[in-house]
Amino acid sequence: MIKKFKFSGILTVFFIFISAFIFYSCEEFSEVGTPPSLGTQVKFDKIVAIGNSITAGFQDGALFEGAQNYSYPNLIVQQINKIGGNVTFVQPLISEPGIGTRLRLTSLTPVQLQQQMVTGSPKNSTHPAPFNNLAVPGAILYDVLDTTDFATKSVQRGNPFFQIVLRSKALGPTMFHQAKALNPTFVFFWMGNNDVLGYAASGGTRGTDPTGKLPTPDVIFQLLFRQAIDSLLKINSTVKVAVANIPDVTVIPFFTTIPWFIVDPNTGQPVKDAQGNLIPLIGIKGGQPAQLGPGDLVLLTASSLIATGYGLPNVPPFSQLPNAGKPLPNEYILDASEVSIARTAIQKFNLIIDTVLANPARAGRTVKVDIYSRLNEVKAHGLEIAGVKFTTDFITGGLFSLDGIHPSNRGHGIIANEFIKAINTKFGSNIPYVDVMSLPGIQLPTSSIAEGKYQIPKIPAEALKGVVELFVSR
Amino acid sequence: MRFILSCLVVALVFSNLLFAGGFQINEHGARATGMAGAFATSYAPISIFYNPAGLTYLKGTNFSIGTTLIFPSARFRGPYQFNTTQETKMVKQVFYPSNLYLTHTFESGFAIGIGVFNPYGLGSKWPEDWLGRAITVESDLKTFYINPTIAYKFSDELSIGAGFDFVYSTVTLTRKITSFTPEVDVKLSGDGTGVGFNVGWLLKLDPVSVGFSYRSQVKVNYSGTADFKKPAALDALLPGGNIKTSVKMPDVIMAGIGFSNENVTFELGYQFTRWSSYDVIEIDFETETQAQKDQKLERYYRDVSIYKAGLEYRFGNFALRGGIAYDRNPIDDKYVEPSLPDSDRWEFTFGAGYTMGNLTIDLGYMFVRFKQREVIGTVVGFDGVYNASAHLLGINFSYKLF
Repeated sequence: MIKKFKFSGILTVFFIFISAFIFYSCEEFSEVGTPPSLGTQVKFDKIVAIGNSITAGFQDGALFEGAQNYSYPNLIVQQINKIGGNVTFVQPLISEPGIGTRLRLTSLTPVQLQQQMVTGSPKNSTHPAPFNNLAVPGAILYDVLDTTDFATKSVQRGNPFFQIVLRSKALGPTMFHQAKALNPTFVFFWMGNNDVLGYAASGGTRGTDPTGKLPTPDVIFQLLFRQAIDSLLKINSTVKVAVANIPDVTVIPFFTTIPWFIVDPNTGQPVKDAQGNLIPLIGIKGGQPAQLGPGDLVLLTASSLIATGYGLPNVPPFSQLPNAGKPLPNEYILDASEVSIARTAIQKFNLIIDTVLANPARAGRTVKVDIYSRLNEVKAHGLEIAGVKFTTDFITGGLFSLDGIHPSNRGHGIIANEFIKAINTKFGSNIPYVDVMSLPGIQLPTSSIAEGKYQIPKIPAEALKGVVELFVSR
Repeated sequence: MRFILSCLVVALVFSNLLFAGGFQINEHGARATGMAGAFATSYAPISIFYNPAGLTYLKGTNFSIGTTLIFPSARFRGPYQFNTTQETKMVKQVFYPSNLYLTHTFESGFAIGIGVFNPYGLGSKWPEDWLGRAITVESDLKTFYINPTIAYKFSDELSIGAGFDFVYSTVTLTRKITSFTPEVDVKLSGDGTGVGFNVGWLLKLDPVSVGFSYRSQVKVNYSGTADFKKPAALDALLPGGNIKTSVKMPDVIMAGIGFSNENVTFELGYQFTRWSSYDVIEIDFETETQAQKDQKLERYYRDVSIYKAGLEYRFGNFALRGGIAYDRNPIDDKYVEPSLPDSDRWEFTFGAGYTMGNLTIDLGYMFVRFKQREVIGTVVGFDGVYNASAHLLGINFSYKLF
């Protein structure tokens, strides 16, 4: 049988090998993905952003050019321009070191921040038109359409940003009016965070409702939100609006970094009693000193108080601290019932945002950016991008800046990508996302850095006050 | 002899290797390379790797030395996480897994031999500043097997062989920690040893032969160091220091059915690699901190098969060879990452041999065509499309000593 192999047969087999080889020898390579495109449904010529400190690019307790350049609306505009958009996006840039209480990382072991009151100055206050980024740090939803003289408002609230961003009545009396004057084709709108953060960041002691004690009531929020969106959609018949919703307080490191129990500042490990149980901090809850529990949130601002003994029982070894035995004041604790009030408000606000945007009259020209769900996912599972895991942890998580509330550069990159994803899906564009890792990461100090799971950051008592004031001063 | 071996140890240890179905390399003799590795029923000094039972059919003392030059190219388009299909090309490198065999076949039917080869290896290098630098910049794994073997021919029809594997391996992995500005360079490097064995049998019922060989799993225990090039601020978080890990080189079955006459050998081959042994890599840091913790890298490879067919045609002093193989990759989409951009591939081979007296020179060429692979939902957050191909050129010098 085999002996009948003929040379010609062998040649045939070789021929088959060679044909197969030639047929297959080119590397397989086909086009993938959709080419980048701005689509035809949206004109991105004139973009306006309305929002609060997040949209403004506020970071590390201050507003400064180095952070504003990485504000999510600015990053989105850069991505649009990368694929042929020709969008000018002017922001109210503040010269370094910025305006606010600027925080700098001086050590990572333990986390140590240095604060500096800074007074940079506006760089382009003579810009002849309204700014494209009209976000005012500290603004609540009410401020979008409130025609109260903004210069007066700045003085009343001790918040210079109304004046810095809006500048001149000639450009328009409110964020909305100045936006309208620009006749935008696309608007980024992210408001309402401060309608609950004012309450939460003050430990439930102040608020934005008429009594000044609670989050903005949902009926008022609904009215204001609908009015704001409708007003924007009326600017012209084609303008589109992307609206972000409000993240949960429990994803924000300002509320989650300091645990409810006592931690050894040297090791970063929980201190335990003779029975091996955690020892709760003591704070004012419902007007009375009480032991804190797992549902209570201790604000980041409490760190320096705890270091002097506040919240610790007056027994050795804590009794050597000057303030041992004194409970943590109310404004440093968002107790479980206050957490519930804040979360209820957030859920209601987000439901209002959903309902208003889903209305057929608005649905075609608006898109929701679901930051709430996205951050909850990150909280639960982390967010792995190109080998880097982002979490909601303070500083090391990578999403939040040093003040524990505002996004970092990369946090802004991730927010920008959520906006772009929503816009692409809704309006048929295909804008590439921001390369998050190309944005600056945590700026390291030159000294050494330590560690520990519950290591309490050492933050000067006044350091975050400016940030809190931003939310609560009314 | 010892001198030659020790020189080779040095040469081989410093050679780089490449991926091939996971990080397996099957080209350990140019003659077999020309036949797409379908060599379980053939016999040559290189049979120590393919099927040790084949040694009994040799005559006298044989020596073979060779190398396979591997020219891979790969590119990545993505990551989809950034809604981009931006292309990054892998840095060009050449690898040269090498082999050395010495055998002696006694009149009594016994045969002994020793082989040295690099059956597992991985080499990939991406640009320092590329998008995936937090996952990998450079990966380099080398294994170096020393395989003394003994074989015995029961009859003209049946022979068996067995051997012992002593394994030495080195590994270096570099990447960046991009969380901080400036970024931190990470380098994990180490070496280790392990032991295993191989067995095989060959049944020759002319014109049909059936061959089977098995090479055991080898667990290599590595020890080495973690080095971080970092700002002083991170000294306490990332002190570096000693690390330990272990990797199980998977066990392999090779089987073939061959048809041969005076001039022609044709073999249909099958190879099974039990990659499921490569599941979780645990990296154990001697000094643990919050940032520098013991790590578990999930790999969860699948067992895979290779199907191959090879042909050799001999006339006078010449031999011509050809082959084709289909090689499945062991990695599920979610675990694909750029240090090993694997995919199913077709392999096409040609080869030739020429004998002058006691010396035989064999050349083998292989083209590896990787299927374009799109991965979505990767655990490292790096979705996109990989394309790859490779050219392999093997050469062996074999000498019949006496």
